[in-house]
Amino acid sequence: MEALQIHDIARNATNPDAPAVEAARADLGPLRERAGRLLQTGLEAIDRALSRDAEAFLSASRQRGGQ
Amino acid sequence: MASRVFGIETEYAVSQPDASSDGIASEPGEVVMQQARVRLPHLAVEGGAGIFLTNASRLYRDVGGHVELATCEVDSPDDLVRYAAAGDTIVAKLAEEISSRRRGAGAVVISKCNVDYLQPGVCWAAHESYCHRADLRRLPALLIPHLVSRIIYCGAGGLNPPCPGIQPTLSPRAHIFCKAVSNSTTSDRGIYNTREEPLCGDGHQRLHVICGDSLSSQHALWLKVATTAIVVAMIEAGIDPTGGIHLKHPVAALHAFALDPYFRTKAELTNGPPVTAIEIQRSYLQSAIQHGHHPAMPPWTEQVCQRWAQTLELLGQGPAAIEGMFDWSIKYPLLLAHARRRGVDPQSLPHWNQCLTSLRDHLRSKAMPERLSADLILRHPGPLAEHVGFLGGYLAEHGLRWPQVRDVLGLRDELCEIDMRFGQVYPPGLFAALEENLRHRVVEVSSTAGCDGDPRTSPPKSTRARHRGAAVRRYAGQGHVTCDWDHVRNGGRVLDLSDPRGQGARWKITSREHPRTTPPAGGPVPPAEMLRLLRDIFDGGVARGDSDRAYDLLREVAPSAVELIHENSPARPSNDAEAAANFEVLIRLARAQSRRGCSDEALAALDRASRMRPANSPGQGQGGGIDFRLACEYVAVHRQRALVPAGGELNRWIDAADRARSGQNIPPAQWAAFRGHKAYALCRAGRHEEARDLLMPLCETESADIPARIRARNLAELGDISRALGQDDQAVAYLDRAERLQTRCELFEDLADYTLTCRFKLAPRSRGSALLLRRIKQAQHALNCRVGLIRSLLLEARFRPSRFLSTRRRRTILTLAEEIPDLMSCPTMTHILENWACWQGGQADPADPNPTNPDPFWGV
Repeated sequence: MEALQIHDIARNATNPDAPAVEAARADLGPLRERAGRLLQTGLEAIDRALSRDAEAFLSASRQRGGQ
Repeated sequence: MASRVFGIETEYAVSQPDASSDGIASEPGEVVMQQARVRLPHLAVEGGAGIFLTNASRLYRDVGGHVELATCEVDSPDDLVRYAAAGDTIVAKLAEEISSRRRGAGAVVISKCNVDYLQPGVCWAAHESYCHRADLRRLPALLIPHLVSRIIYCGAGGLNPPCPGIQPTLSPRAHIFCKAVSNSTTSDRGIYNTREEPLCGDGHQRLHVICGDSLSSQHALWLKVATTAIVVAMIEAGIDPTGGIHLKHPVAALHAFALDPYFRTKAELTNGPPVTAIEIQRSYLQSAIQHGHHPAMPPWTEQVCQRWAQTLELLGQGPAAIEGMFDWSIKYPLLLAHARRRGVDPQSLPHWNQCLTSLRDHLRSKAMPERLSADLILRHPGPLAEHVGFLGGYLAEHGLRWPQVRDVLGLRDELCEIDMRFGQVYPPGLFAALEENLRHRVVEVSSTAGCDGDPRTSPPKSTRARHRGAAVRRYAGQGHVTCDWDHVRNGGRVLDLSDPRGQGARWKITSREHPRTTPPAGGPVPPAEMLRLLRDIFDGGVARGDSDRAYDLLREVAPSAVELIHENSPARPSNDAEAAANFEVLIRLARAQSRRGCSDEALAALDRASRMRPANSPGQGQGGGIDFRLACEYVAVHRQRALVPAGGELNRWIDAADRARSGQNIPPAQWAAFRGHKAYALCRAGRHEEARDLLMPLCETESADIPARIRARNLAELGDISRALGQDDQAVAYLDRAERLQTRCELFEDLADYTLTCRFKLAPRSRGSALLLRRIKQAQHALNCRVGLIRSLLLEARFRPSRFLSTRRRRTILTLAEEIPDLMSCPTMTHILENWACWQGGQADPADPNPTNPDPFWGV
């Protein structure tokens, strides 16, 4: 429904020269499979990246300025 | 179509988790900047910190010591992504070089992260700059709804920093903003920042957006800058892009939107029913589509609208549709999955957050340290025992028990580390590990489409950055050429870059028109203005080793005073003010000429100054004799004369200064500088203990009355004295302090000539000495410190001997020395060249009166 609304914005624009905007719809099936693989890869990467002492890592990386 | 010019700044967290005390570097940010100065062709920033690179970006250390890279100005989101990626690569490469050199110990870790979880409210910035000519009064109201709602695609993800438990968020920095509009960037931050620092001219303004996150996803970064640039373009064109949306509580809306990954949260409006973040974004998109062909819009508007619309559609379809696309949508499921495998159910987190917040508030009410630990919570009896018992019932109602808090708080630290590791640029972090599986790419970052070559080394083809990049490439290594966003300065010539698009950029031979250095046009510079220029421009330049430029400046602003040294008749200034200004010019002339290796000219300037000392000036010597200040200036010139000063003249002037100070109230800075010179002379005479006793009291305390330049020199001197006394540990400690101070204040000539050279002498044949000597030479070469460079070349020939290079080295030294009057008349120089075989062979000085304990440096 929301996708149609976006598409309608472009189609119903009062300016005839308004840029063309194509609708986008995600096919969620393959995306969910992909998400599962991504999660698995991510957790493995976390295992490799995490230090033994997270608090010590955070202390060593402190910001002494601060924007 | 109109061009839009913009850029971003990224603050990198730099740490050295396994740093060793090798004495070479003290702060990781400094290490990275030192490496950059050595490895990257650059120009120094005029009057500021850091360097401009050949791709026209600026690299510097910001307050707090972290490294920051500001991209060059670009005019398309594609280029913005390319130059941001180039910045990451440049910084990562520097870290890699440092780490490989140190082989593990002291390896540098560099991250693009957003908040310091140990200090709620403290963060690393990712600021955006947009050039515009919009009405500043209209900007906040028309821009704030966009800034508040855009986090649904350009939030970095992470945890809500003020929450003592675990509260995932779309944007960790969103929670540290507490005002809608503010000028501050470090506290009381506003969603709309009012900083007025255009960094350009011709009526252009610079919108400084500080509420964004540091991002790894190209898609998120591209959309962040592209949509914001378009919104600013619409406002500049007089269009209201909000579609009539006016948030009632922008800060509350920002915080609430950040905590809702499903975008169901609605924000109250002043003029209508509540709206979601997606609805606000749709409203802006609709305006952009409606006005897409307005002349004020950039040529890539249609492309942006297309991607913007598709993004909003996907967001509307739920989290699965955007997985692997934006920083937060990659990070969010990882954080929750990691919690689950650590045995913490994400559904339990709101209950833990409620209890931990209650405990934190309890500590706060008792003015106790607020950081919660499992030990503190579980201690019985303890300061929280009663409150913990009271909340235990609530936890039990949800199947939870207090002993589990140890797992929850341990998990929190791990999730914070995961967030910081996500955007790590060196060693490559989690985002890099996942990149092949992500859907974030929108441009080919190594493409040279928008630039004249590799974006890491070349500027874009458009905007003023192309002129700046060309100037950096052309003048890199010439210390007298400096750079800023809106100009490049080469002595008296200035490249005007006041137009951000680079139109009208040209060299002008009128540095006098520049507001910072400018004497008024027409006629001589008034004495008061002359004194200001000397103080503001000359002293800063010469202190940083820019002696050639300082000398040029004197000749520009005070040609008649400079010429005084060539006249035979006494000066006849028209009034006391003019006499005082001329006196100060001559003193500066002596300093510049002394550092340039022209001591005879320096002494002539001082002789002239001594004859025209204003009658009523402070520190005047008794009975018309030489005063302490002038005597000190003579001491300084003689001390720096050639490779080794002539002891007789130096000591004569030290005695004169000692006599002149009798009964005088000497300013602390002059007194400290004099003691440094006197300690050097004592050291040369073998009276090391006296030298140490003279300097040590000065170096044990830090007086604000003594400039950093003098404090650092004295520390280096004391380091060298300690070395001569065989106290190497103390020497390293003093030299470390000197190096920190000189690096922080960018006193690179002194750093190379004094501190690093003294450090080299500690272990001239060690494995690290070759690297150190290379660093010294590169700094001296870049700053055009000719006497110092020749000293380093001589030390290299002696301690890094090479039969193959012997003749070439001697020839190089001779060639360089021919340009320096002091060296052509230096007895030590002649002595070394006449005994080149001994010098290079590491043998004792044939003329050393003490052959049983020879000076390995022959006094150099």
